[in-house]
Amino acid sequence: MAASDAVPVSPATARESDAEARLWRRLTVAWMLIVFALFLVLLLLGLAMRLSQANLLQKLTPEYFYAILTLHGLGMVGTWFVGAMAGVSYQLTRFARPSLGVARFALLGTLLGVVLLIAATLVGRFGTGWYFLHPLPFYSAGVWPQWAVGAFFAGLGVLGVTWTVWTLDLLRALARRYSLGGALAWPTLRGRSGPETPPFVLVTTASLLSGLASFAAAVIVLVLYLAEWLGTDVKNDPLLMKNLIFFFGHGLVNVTMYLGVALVYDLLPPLTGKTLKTNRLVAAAWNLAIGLVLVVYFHHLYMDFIQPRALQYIGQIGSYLISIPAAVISIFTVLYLVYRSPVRWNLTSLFLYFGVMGWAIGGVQAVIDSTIAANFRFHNTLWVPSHFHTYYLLGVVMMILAFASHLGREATGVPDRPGLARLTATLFLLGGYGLVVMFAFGGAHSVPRRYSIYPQELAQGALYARVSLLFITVLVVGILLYLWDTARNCWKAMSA
Amino acid sequence: MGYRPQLLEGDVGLRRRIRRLAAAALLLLASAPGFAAGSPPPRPVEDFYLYRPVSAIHFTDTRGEVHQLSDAWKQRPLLVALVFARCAEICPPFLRSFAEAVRTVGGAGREYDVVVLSFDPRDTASDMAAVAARHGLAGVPGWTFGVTSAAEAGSLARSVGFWIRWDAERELYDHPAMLAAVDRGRVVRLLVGATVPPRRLREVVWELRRDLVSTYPLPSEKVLFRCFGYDPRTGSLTLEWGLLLLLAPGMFTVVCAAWIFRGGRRADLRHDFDPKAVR
Repeated sequence: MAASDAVPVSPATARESDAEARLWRRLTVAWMLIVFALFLVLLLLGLAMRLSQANLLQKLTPEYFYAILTLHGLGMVGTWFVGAMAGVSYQLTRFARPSLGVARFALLGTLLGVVLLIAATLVGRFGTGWYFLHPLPFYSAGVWPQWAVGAFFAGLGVLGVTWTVWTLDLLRALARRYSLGGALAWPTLRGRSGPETPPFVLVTTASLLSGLASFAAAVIVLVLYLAEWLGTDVKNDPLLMKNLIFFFGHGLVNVTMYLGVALVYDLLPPLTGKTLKTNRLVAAAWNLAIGLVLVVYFHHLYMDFIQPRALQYIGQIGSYLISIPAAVISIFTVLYLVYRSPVRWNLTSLFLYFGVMGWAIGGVQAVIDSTIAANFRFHNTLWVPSHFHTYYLLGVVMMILAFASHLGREATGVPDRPGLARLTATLFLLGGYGLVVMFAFGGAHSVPRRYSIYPQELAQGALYARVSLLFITVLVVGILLYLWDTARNCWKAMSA
Repeated sequence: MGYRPQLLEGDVGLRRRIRRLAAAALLLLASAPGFAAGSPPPRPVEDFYLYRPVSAIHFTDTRGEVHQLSDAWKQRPLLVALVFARCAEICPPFLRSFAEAVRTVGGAGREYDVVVLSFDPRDTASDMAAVAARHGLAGVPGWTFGVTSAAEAGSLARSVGFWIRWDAERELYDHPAMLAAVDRGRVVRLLVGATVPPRRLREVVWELRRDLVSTYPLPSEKVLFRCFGYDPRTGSLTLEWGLLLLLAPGMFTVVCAAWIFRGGRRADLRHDFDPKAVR
């Protein structure tokens, strides 16, 4: 990313009127409030699981543990995806004009999908894990009823359709402003002069295109599951289903992170007094990312001996390559932005900066885990939740929380509180890193993941869970401080 | 001896039913040292015996030499079968099929050895020599026929999931037809059924050689799509139609992008964004 020290110039606004701008802001604030509420609930579910693993919540039976595990995983990924999409949609109105109607439809569809998933898991005790690997949904061992299977797949179906429509609408809005090549900075890539592609537009376009592929994979999985669930003679191949499920799941997580980075590219420069421009390297990296997202998920199937070896190698090489556009370039960009800059360190800039750094740290862990030789040791140990909590909770979640803080302040005009921001960030980072380090210790000692209660042979797993409770408490205090500041601003913005 | 229906390849429904009975089977096996009369035990379930240690019993071969099974598996991996010489039902067709499959697959005496033991205490070494001769296996490299004591036969049977029951009415033993693949003293595979398909035996031999066997059970023969096919003759993978489903999301994205962004080229040329031009 090339940067200049020029005073940032705002792009021309795409908002037709102040009234429409207010509607967009209200809708986005509503999204953020919903995201906060879901985050708190899902956080408490995560706490319940760690309490169970620490042998401090013995009333939590294994069937509820796995139902909670399913909802926590799926819920967190979905919540932050919609948070990122809402943030990007809002920021995109400065460059293009997404449909407000589609955005509202996305809100309603998401709520319906969430209700169905909550019913399937917390009421129906559907507990396959977010990955619902074939044929587990059909073999409940009497734990979940058939209606829970239906509710789960209906929930996923509603979310899949809703998010696909939402994604298509944002792409449609971009297409009104840019050609495909323009949105993906192909002229820059070819070294030609021409209209500039803002980094935000480039990353958003790349992310949305990757997202489309993920949703298409999800649709195929759901159709195949439906064909089998409806009682036809047709059965599915578990290997094909696993490939498609991780195509969807890994892609969704990737896209969420990229959308978070798009927000960083848009929000951080004004706080540092610098501007960002897309150069050839950045254009190449993000174009490459679109293709790589389609193949990196192979690293989830290293333990599937039947998967052809060539695909395993592609998974490892792809995982290494994808860290270049995603992590390396973004990290150097952010470091350049803050280096010797008069940064306004408020909640937004702190969370954006540390979000990118958390993403980098989690990314390194992920690259280690995507190395076949290392995965042989780390697969299905607590190392895995360690790395995905690092790049999620301490990465993209911080980026989206930064956006929400920016939105609340922009909407209400409430001034920054640097002291409170520093305290909030400190508690969030201390609690968050303590949580993931306990997971990492567990992984390094081969403590398996997804155990509701650790047997005597794995007693250290319970010990790490107990220590992590201290850090979770600190994290929760940090989050509550954040919400006290930001959620209040958002609430004010809603009622304004 | 009663005939046990063969476990057909791909008969996963049957396998599943068997697995549901597995707990009961284990209990039955554990509590049946004398293989008491009663309802016949279910067929041996491979999943419950994989990588379990095999009893290192002593046996006497047809030349009267005493061996220990552990000495044999220290030389090469083993295919072990339990039969009895007086059997008039399942043992002869099983041995015929087994011998034919070994001939087809090859490698006996080089990559693995075959040990066929009698569990009937009445059988002598010469009885087993006659069995070998009847199937054209006397003196064939890699094949050993022998006898052992009832106690050691029982110990070996229990360690590989084999069961034996005396049928007083017919004065015959009831038992399954089964061979156990043993590598370094542990069960690697169990093949159950009167027929030993060469393709299944080939996979077993590959496993004994510690080669990758690129196959796994499917839930049904009516599988809609598969990414990769498997050639049991060569062990190689082939591309199947299901692979298109893995390519479909990418193709969908390309088509969508081309469709959505069609005609957007002109708008690129504007540096300043005009909101009225958007709608």
